[in-house]
Amino acid sequence: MPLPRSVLHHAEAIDPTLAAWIRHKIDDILGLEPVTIVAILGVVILAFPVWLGASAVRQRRRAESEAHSAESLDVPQS
Amino acid sequence: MTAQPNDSGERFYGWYVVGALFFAMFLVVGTRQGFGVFVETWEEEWGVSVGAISAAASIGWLLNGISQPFYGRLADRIGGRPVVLVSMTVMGFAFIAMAFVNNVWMLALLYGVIISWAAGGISPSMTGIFVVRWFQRQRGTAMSLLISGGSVGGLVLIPFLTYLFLATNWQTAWVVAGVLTLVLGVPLLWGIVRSDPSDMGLHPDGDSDELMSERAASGVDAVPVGPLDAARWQDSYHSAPMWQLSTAYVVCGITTASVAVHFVRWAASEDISPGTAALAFGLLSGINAASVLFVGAVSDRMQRKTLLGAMYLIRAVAFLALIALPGQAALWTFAIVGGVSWLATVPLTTSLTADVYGLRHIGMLGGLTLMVHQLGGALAVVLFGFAFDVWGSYDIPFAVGAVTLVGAGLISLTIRERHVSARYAPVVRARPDLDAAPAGGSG
Repeated sequence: MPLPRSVLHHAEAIDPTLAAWIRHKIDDILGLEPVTIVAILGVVILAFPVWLGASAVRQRRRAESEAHSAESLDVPQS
Repeated sequence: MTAQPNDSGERFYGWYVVGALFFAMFLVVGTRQGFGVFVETWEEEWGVSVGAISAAASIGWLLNGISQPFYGRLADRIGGRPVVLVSMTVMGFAFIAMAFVNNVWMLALLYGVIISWAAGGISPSMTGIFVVRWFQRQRGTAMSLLISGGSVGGLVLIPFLTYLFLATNWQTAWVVAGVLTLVLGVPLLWGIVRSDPSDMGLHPDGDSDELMSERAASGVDAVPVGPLDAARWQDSYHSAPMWQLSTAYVVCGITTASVAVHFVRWAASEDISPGTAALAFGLLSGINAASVLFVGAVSDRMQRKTLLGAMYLIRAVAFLALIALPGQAALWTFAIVGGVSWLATVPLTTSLTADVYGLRHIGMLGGLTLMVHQLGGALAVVLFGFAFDVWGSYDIPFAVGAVTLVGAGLISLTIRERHVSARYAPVVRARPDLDAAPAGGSG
């Protein structure tokens, strides 16, 4: 049976021909060392989860702080 | 209609949930697609044929499909969060273990069984369970964003793994993929994702408590129940939409899997070089990524069945082009026209299933539809190959594909969405305080 070749429908393995084509195109266009490309893509991969996690934590803390403030206002003055 | 930001102008938390699941899809789909990068090296190092390595991948394809109802049922019972967390953790360790594989049997066990089964827990149907719980009005938009995570993962992680492989070796590439999954993916899911907005005291789409109270006062469920909501998931198959959606989705599986596997072979039979065919793949993928986002957003503004039917009919045109047009013209027409419809059926089918049947059994129902999609695809791959061996041409299988796609399009268009979708026919329940009669079921 031939290797499942992906056209990005769900998660099947990419066609080795397409993988080689992508690599040659990137080499032609950028002409960078593999290590440099790994570093650039690595930063791209890291950036999204770091930003998302930080944003979610910030929003949650703000919401907790607002809830705490609202509770304080609800406490009857003695 | 769009979800309004809350009083403080903050983004609805559901979008963070979508973001975390997007990244999970990004890692899992991108890394699994990266499998293809290492095939030639394994062939040389282990002295095995591509066919043997393909068998491992094919086992994975089938097991991944069969796992879907299992995960869906589990998520319906215990919530989606533990399912995605465990699946992601297993995937991370299994990616690292891939570095120690040194023969095709270990590959079959680790990739074909363990990774492919665990990946079922991060599938479009499983992650879609969260989206349909967190979103109602923007369900299509959120679903399409989620699905695009897989496409972006392929675009970024395949080059990343390829160059990492070139800079080091294939073992390091898999270890890095595993570490990324365990260090970034798992904590992000653990910290952000919750199974249901009520777990955080929120409502779907970020609606306010006041709005929910108004809905409750008018007798409409605060969280809409699907008009065909059933007490048991099996009962959903007593109504037409489940069969309509499933039948069309089988055709989706048949027509995508068969082309995905046989496209390069078809191109060779038309004297088209593998490089040109690969370029057409790239174009199709790019159009596909843009199309899924567009279709998902538009589906929140019109009947989803109309778009779903249109997607199948458009794909039928692409299949006809493969038969009717000469080699190069067929290739590029297929890439452009087919790319429009390729992934767009996924958010539409998942969203429509939730609109019609509600959330009670959405995991099981979504899992079953994805399972038949995968099984139909696996069978089609074998039959298309058999047909080519017999007739020496793909014309007949492509014609069959076109006919089934026209059928899928017409079946989708006949879904009576205005009568069976919570978007158009919200379920109004009797209010116990106004009516002594017991609240009736919605089925």
